[in-house]
Amino acid sequence: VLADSESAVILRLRGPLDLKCQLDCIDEVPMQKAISRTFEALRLQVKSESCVLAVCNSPVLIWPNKSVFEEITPDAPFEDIFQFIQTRTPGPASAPILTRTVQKSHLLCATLPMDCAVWSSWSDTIKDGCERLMKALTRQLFEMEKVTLQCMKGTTLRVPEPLHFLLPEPNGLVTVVFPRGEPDKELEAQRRELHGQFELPDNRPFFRRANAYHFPNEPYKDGYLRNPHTVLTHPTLDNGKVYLVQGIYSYHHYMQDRMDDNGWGCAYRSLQTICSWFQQQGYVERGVPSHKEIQQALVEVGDKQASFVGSRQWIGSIEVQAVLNHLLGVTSKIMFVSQGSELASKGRELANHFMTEGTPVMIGGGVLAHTILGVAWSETTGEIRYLILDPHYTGAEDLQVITEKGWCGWKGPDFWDQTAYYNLCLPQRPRVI
Amino acid sequence: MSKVTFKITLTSDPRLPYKVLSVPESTPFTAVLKFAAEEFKVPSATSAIITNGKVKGRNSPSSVAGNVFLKHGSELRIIPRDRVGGQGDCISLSMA
Repeated sequence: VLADSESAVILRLRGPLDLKCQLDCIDEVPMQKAISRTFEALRLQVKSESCVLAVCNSPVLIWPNKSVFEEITPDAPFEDIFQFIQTRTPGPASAPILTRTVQKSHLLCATLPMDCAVWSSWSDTIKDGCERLMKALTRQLFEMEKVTLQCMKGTTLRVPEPLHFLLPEPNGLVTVVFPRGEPDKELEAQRRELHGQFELPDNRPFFRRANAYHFPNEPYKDGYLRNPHTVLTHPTLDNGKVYLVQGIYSYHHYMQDRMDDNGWGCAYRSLQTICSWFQQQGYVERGVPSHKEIQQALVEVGDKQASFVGSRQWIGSIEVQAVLNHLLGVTSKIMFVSQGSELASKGRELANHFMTEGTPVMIGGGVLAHTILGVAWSETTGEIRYLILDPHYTGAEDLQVITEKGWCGWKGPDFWDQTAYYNLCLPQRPRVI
Repeated sequence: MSKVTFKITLTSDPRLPYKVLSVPESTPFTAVLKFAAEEFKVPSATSAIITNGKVKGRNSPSSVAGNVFLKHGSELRIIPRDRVGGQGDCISLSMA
């Protein structure tokens, strides 16, 4: 599987390996030894000549340990592989093979989900790329063995599962093996160790499951657009800098989820966008709340009467803050601006917010709610622009329409109602890993 | 009974008038909001109290004046709540 960016390529190797281990007894030490032996056997298998790599959607086959390359030459640069890749309809699945063994024993049977990824560049040769992938594969088997043995509890084993994380430079793409199914809160000690190993700050998460890298060729299945602002050209102001939301959010707007909230739901949608940010950065596991769940939360904190649920009543930034607190445990700062014209002077505060918290900001006033995703501000001239995500959009998830028509776009200070008062809800990032 | 003192500023008035209120520390904070709003002649239902401090959440109705004072200090601001909903997809000035 190949993914591309401007000059770098990610090579990804995936496939199931069967872990089959016959255990004569289920005492801890012999079990561990048997498991280690099985992993060693697997490592030998992947080093053997019978190991074959197939490049997805192409006829290219590679025997890395035999230096046999079908359809392609080993010294060719990786770019050449692209000419072979085309989408094909999948062929018939191969038949399963059954074996029957008559013997009394305990059989440990699992499928190891091998998944290695290495950075490469277009000019690297295929041979080099394969060598690096195979090395990564062997290393992964070692790590899987370690994690399997560490997480053994009596006779229960957890399948080791690799996850990829894109860390800030100079670390780049890193693969970590975690026990499958173990919730994030049980893995804090492992995460702390990883933070130390990679010299990462200890007040923001990098290794929660939600932080796992999203490969460019894997579309999100929920249908929401992610970070539509990344396709925009950011404004260049004299001595100006751009300060943006950090991380990933989904675009929530009118009419989604079969909910007709046209004309009343804009603050709800902005709140949903903010919740999606906290979920995708790994701070919370709960999904984005629906309008009803938002209303229910407000009743629960005593801000609204029970009759509020199911209504089409408007809410504002104070309610947004209350729901973020109640449902997500997130606190927020409220900024009050007595008239819209004053927003032009809030450049420093907004810049600081995006630098330290990096969360999307909900702004309410002049009957409209919007989400501020960033600010372009010049300290010397005071010029300012706001990156706005507009929840009033009623159309389909069409990135082109959304960015060309300005539903996600840069606006000037005249965007705001100059005489109306505004409240901004600035969610604060919890200082946890 | 101990009392706590708050200085509450009305931020929606450009002259930033303020009132100093002394209340028993067990007073529910919602009562403080109501009283302050009445003093300033603004509707309490559409007002909220925030602090000057860095992080502030809306107090749950169960919190009392004493706790608010300990957590956030004595400088508070009363702001008008925004209630927004929009008028459909033809509102924004820069839409085509």
